This record gives sequence, C-alpha cells and structure tokens, in this order.
Amino acid sequence: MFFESNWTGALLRIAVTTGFIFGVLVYFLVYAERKVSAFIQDRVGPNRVGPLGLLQGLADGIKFVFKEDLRPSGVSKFLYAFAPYAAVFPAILAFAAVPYGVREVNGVLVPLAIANIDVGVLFTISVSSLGVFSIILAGWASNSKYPILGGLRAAAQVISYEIPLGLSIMSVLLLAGSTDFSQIVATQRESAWFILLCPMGFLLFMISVFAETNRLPFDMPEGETEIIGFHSEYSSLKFAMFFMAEYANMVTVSCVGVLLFLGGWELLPFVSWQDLSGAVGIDILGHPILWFVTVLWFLVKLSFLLFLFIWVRWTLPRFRYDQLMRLGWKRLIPWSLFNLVVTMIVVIWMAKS
Amino acid sequence: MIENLFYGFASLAVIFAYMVILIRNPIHSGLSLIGSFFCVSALFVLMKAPFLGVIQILIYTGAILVLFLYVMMLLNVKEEEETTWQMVSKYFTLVLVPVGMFFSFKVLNFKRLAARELSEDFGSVFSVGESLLGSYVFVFELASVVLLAAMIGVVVLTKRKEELD
Amino acid sequence: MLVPLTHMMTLSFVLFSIGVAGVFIRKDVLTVFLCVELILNAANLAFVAVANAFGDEFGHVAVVTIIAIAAAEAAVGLSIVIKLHSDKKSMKLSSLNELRG
Repeated sequence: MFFESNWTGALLRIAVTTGFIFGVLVYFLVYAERKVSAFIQDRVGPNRVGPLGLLQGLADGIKFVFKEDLRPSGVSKFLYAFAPYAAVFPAILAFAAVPYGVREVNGVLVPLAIANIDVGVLFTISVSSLGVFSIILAGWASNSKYPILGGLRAAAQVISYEIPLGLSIMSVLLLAGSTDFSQIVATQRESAWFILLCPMGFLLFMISVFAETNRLPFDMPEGETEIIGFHSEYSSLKFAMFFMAEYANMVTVSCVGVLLFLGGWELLPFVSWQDLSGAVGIDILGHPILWFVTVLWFLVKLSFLLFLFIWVRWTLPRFRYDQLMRLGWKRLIPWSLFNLVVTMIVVIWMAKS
Repeated sequence: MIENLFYGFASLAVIFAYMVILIRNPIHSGLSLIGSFFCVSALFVLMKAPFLGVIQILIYTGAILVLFLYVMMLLNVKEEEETTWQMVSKYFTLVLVPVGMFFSFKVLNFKRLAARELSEDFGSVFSVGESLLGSYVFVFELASVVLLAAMIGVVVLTKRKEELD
Repeated sequence: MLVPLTHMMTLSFVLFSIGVAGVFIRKDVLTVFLCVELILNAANLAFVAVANAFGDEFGHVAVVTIIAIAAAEAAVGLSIVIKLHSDKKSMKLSSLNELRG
C-alpha cells in the first residue's frame, strides 16, 4: 500500500513524508536547538510546558497562530502574501527525490523515497535553490528600507554560495559516476564513504550549506539582533512559515549531506549490512524489518549533521558582510575548483589503472 | 494520462506567457515567466528529457530569473505607464496568436520525416553527456568561450571609469 | 510519443510569437529582456520536441548550449541595464535614442 507505485501509494508517501518532516523532524529540531543552546550556554532551556519542556514548540505554534497578522501600509499585496509560500513550497518539494532507506523486494534492494528519479541530486539542489525567490520577494514587497537591504544582502549571499555548493557536489558526482542518490550510496558501499575519499569536498559542502540555509556564522539574512533581515515586517503565521521553511531546508540539506558523504543508510565505513548479517547470523538484508532499520540508521546520521548545525551556530560569532563575500568568492570558489580538478585527475587515473 | 498532462502544462505555459506581456508591473511579469518556465520544464520531463527539465529549473529559474528579479529590486522598478497603442496591440495579440495557431495546425506536416525508435537511456544525464562531450564537443567548448567572454565583459562593464584607468 | 509533433511545434510557435509580441509592445528594458528569454525558451521546446520525435540527441545538446548562452546574455544585458539606470535614470527603451538611427 505505502510502497506501491500507484496513485494511492504516491499520495500516502507524500503525506507521510511531509508530515514526518514538518511534524516530527522540524518540531524536534527546534526543541533540540533550544536545549543544546541552553546546554552550551550553561542554562536550563525550556522546561515549563510539558515534561522536559517538550510541548514548548506546540505552545509557540499556538502563539504564532493567535498573533495579529499585521500588514504594513503600502506593501505590494499579492507579493507580500506570496513570499512565505515561495519559501515553504521549495522546502517541501526538494524532499521529493531524497531517499531515506531501503527495503527488499524479491531479492532486490529498492530505495525508499517519494519518487526515485535518476537526476535526484540535480533535482534536489535546483529546487532548494528556488528558496531565494522568497527572500527577494519578501524584501521587496515589504515596502520598507530595512527589509529591502536585508533582502539584497541575503539574495547575494545565497546566490554566491550556490557556486561552491554545486562544485563540491560535482566532485561527488564524478566519484560516483551517477546523479542518482541510491547509486551514489551503492558506490560508497563498494569503495569507501566519500567523506574519506574527498574530505575537502565535505568541508566545502558544509560551509556552503551553512550559508545557503542562512545559519550562523552566515546568518546575515536574519541577524535578528543587530542588522535587520528580510522578514522583519512579517508577523504571526507568515513569519512562522519562513521559520519552518528554514528548518525544513536544514533537514533537506543534511539529508543530502548524509547521502553524498556519509554513506546514506549504510552501516559504517567498510562495514555493510551484509557483513553485519554474516557476523550476527541473521539475514538482515532479507528481513522484512530492513526498511525500519535502515530508516532509523539514516535518522541517526541525520541527527548527527543537524547537531553539527546547532553546535556551530552557538559556538561561532557572525561574519561581517564583506568578510563573508570575500570568503565565498576568493576562498571557497577557487578551493572548490581545485578540489574538482584533483578529483577529476584521481577519477581518470583510477579508470586507467 | 501523459497526453492530458502535456495539454494541461502546455495551456498553463501559454497562459503564463500571456501574463508576462499583459501585466504592467515588471516583477509580476517576471514571476509569471517563472511559472511558464516551470511548465516548460515539466514538458521537457514528459518528452523524455529529464536532464534538461532539471537544468531548466536550475539555470533558467534558479539563476537567470533570480538575477532579473534581483536587478528589478535593486533598481526599484515602477509600474509602466501604458499608451493607448500598447493597450490595443497587447490585447490584439490575444486574437492574433490563436489565428496563427490555426494556420500552423494546417501547414505543419511532419509525416514525411521518418521517426526513429528511442533508445532506453535517451535523454538521461549519461547519454546527453556522452553526445555533449563526444560528437558535439566543439559546440560545448564554444559555449565555454562565450561564457568566459561574458564574464570578462560584465567585469569591465561594472567597473567605474576611474578604476579602469 | 503520444502527442503529435505538430502540436508541440505549435506550442513552441505560440510561445515564440507571444515573446516577439512582447518585445514589440513593452517599453521597459527589463520586460523586453524577459520576453527575449521567453523566445529562447520556445526555441528550446522546439529542439527537444524534434529530438524526441526523431531520436536524435542533437536537440538536447543544442538546448544545453542555448541555456549557457542565455545565461551569458542575461549577465551582460543586466549589467548594461544597471549602467543605463545610473546614466539615464530611466528604464524606458525610448530614452535610448542618441544614435538617431
């Protein structure tokens, strides 16, 4: 039912995956952000609503819904209302091609995803890059000076860091020889995880996605305390949509990072599920619970990367804007080109020998 | 099913394209162009060119139109005032284009050209890449020269006069 | 392919004509640019349709090249527009009449 490739199965997959991302992952990510930040700053964090403050997110959501939905005078009405949707829509759509586990059908491993397409990597990157429209539109439509300046800054930042992001992903595509996520994971099982083969690519990828998702140390687009960002004129549910889109983007890029560099749902570097079944004596690959195990293992890796996001945010101070641009154009792009050329040479050399 | 999807996306693409020229606000025009490009990329996917469909979104909407909207925001463009002539002619296209469509249905005839069977991986990244770097490598290299020239041109254009000397 | 080639070429033709009409009708430099992009996209559609009908991959190669050239064109064109705006304080094509051609 859930996995069948017909309309009911597809709709069910879309509903469950989207619901899981927004209902569970984003919810607990916000909670984790507060708890981890509290831990880093030696505070307690949310502990009033529900056990361990677990219902704090729910309380915040209710607060957002009941706040007054202000609309400043002189805004461009349609665009002002449209911008939050332009942020949420790519964030949801980008997940459509991301696989998050495998299951076994008649002896063949089939990846679990809303849609398995062979240009999956390109699709995810291109759709998630559409989020920049919401930044431009929100900044422009607000008819206010601070949001338009924030919007210009943010859009320039996101466009600039897309280049090193694309180049670092290209080195992985070269190593795997495919643009299909499941094929890339399979290549990592056979050779080694790409974080080991191409550590520089991973570093460049992580730095670029920090900038892409507007996280500290690159949170110029928001900078809620000193410099004002593109969504300062937004309130209530519209602001909540920007907020959720940011966290959903974080989840998506972390999934991409896990799949491209950390071996996806594979067990450990050089140790596959096959080896584990041999050691334990249970045929895990043929077991009906395989999909659950792989999805769970995928989530463990995912939470590691998400923890990295939070950790960095509460550790490093923010860059100044010119420093950020200099880092992007004069450091990251040349280094990612260098990384790409080295990878090309290695791939050709491996193919020859 | 595929046929219905094709005609649906085709009519959406045409409607969005009309909106580009009918709307006076350039930013709204740009947004409808994004809609049109999305429909065209869906058509690419339906026509067994998934790679081009993704590239269309990645480069056209994700890079080129973002630049357009960025410049519109930077220059703070205003709504265009319309002369009567413009008003008349833009609604005249609403009549003229269907007439042209009718004639193109009558005139276009591809029956004499022999169709070939599509291979299994036609239009995939692999096969497009192979022809791009195989038989048509000269075109590919030429495109890179054009891009380099454009890059240098833009740098020179945006420099101020005193910086150039 | 289920859809006849005639229909796809007609769609491409319609998009092309709308783009050309836009180039003639609009006075704003940026909107004219948008219409040029529409024209290029119509050409892409025709290329892919023909490639799909005849099983020849040249159409796909042509589209990749056209997209690359469109990117170059947009970059140069937009920087000219910015220069124009700082020189003339106007975005209208009719303000560009110094050559009196």
